[in-house]
Amino acid sequence: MSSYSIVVKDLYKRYGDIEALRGVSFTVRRGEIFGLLGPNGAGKTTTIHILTTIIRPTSGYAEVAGFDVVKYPDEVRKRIGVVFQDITLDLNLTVYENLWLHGKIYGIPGNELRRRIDEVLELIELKEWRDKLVKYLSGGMKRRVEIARALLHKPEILFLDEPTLGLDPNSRVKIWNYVRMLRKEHNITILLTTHYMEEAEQLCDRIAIIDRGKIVAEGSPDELKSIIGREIIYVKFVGTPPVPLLKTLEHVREVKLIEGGKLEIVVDNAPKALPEIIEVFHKSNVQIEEVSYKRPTLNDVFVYLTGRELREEESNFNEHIRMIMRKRYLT
Amino acid sequence: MRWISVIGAMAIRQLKRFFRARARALSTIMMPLMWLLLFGIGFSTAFRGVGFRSILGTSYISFLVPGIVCMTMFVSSFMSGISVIWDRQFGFLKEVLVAPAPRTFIILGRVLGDVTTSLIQALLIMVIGIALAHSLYVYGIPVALIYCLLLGMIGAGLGTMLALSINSIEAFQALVSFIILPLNFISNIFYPLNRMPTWFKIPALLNPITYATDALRGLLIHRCVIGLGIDSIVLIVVACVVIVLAAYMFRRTSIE
Ligand SMILES: Nc1ncnc2c1ncn2[C@@H]1O[C@H](COP(=O)(O)OP(=O)(O)OP(=O)(O)O)[C@@H](O)[C@H]1O
Ligand SMILES: [Mg+2]
Repeated sequence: MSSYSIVVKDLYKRYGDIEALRGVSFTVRRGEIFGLLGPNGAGKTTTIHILTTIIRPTSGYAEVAGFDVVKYPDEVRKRIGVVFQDITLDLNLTVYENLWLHGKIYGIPGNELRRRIDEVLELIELKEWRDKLVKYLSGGMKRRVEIARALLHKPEILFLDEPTLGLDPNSRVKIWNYVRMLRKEHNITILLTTHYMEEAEQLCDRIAIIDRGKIVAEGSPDELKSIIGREIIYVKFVGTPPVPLLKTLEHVREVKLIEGGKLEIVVDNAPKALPEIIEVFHKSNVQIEEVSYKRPTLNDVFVYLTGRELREEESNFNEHIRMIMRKRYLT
Repeated sequence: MRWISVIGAMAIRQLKRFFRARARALSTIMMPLMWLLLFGIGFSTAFRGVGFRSILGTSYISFLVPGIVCMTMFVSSFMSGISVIWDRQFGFLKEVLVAPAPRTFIILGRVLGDVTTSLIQALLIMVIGIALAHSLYVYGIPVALIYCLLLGMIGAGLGTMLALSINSIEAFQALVSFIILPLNFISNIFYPLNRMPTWFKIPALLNPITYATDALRGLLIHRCVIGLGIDSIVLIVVACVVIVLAAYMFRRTSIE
């Protein structure tokens, strides 16, 4: 067996005039949690839809669990579990009935199916809800039921398209825990998409940053951050800061006085630069009150690579609108 | 035997949804019921003694019951095609499309479930009809239900095809009245086939409802015009063709 669960090469997808994907390539290793991080409209969902065989790419190649998604969709389908971005449960069936229906469609025999339903309900902590109609469940609970359903047929690879979109922090942490647990105890490969950088950072072994239909970087969170090659140290002090002296230090790139009596020092290697900086202050007899240090975030990486923000505020706003629309639609 | 479980599960799903939305079910049965009560009884009493019996060989209401049963069957199963659009809009379609189960079985299961719910409604109308017109042959009911089943397959298949080609609830509902009303009137539901002028008879004979109604009249009031043999062949052939086409369309459907 190949050590890659997913191989994507130069994927293009056109919707009329819109080019949703413009040459997407990445690989996901067996057993890892891989994140596709990108803003709204980046092409995350389109990528998931192609990899899960429900739409065809305009061109390019994608392989999931060793099978070409265009040539052998059924082989791929048997081996994957999918949680789509929007709810795909039957709202007029109960939790149990949704799971039962899924099991039947996937050909799981009766006794085995009942056992597995109990198992997944246990996992997502919704046992008491099994006979409730899905439409009466909260958004977070529906998500958990979808995860349970995607696991029922024991997939090799799990796809999660924005699994925590619009959920409260509590539900979000729950889902993160399930994801970690699945990887650890069941060795499932997980591909998830998100536009929350903290989610990508907390959860993923490796991340591909996607923007406007292209992968702009791929690597572990630390690797991605080191792309920027700059970190920031803040020093609060009493007296006159030794700015010229600081500028001569090997790892220091910029020094700037900012409000609150603080110095902002941009360095390329904080662990090495910090002792030198402290020594300079000491020698100049300037007392240090406080030192803080800011690692670059994935958002900084995104800004560095694309010149734009991941823009959480705007996406939260869109999400809000989307939730309202969805609610309206459902009632 | 895996396919039986897929078909069965999808059929059960359709049934469960039907029984959870009884209000909607009741509303689909209201229309044929109104026809039966207002039109059937009204017509029978208004033209009492005009000689219906000599033309139809039975009372007008007895003549009407098999037709209204077929109307119920066809309309209700045709309308059930709309659930494909609901599933698309509420996302459940994706769950089905991403499954390894052959889509033909999925669609067969749906159709079977929907036809069963229509059968329940048709049976209800039949029972009410028999109570109103007490000259029907009750022992014809079991075989009549088989013809209803065939007509239901045709209705559900056509409804599904329409739903798959337009993907909009509003458009579906608008088109339904355009399709259903003429189909009901250009048939033998309300008037006997053998008294129709040729220009009317030809389109009526292109309408599958005509054959089902003819068969039901043969069974329930012993007044068959076309003949059970031809009725059976036409209904079976049309049902097969429609289901194959619907399955073909469903296999090619995508979420784009
Ligand atoms: N069915 C479609 N028809 C036309 N355009 C589409 C379709 N689906 C997606 N697009 C377009 O393709 C682009 C990528 O969309 P996609 O849904 O893949 O983005 P995304 O990264 O999942 O965004 P989000 O965070 O909003 O879910 C967008 O510009 C979108 O408008
Ligand atoms: Mg998306």
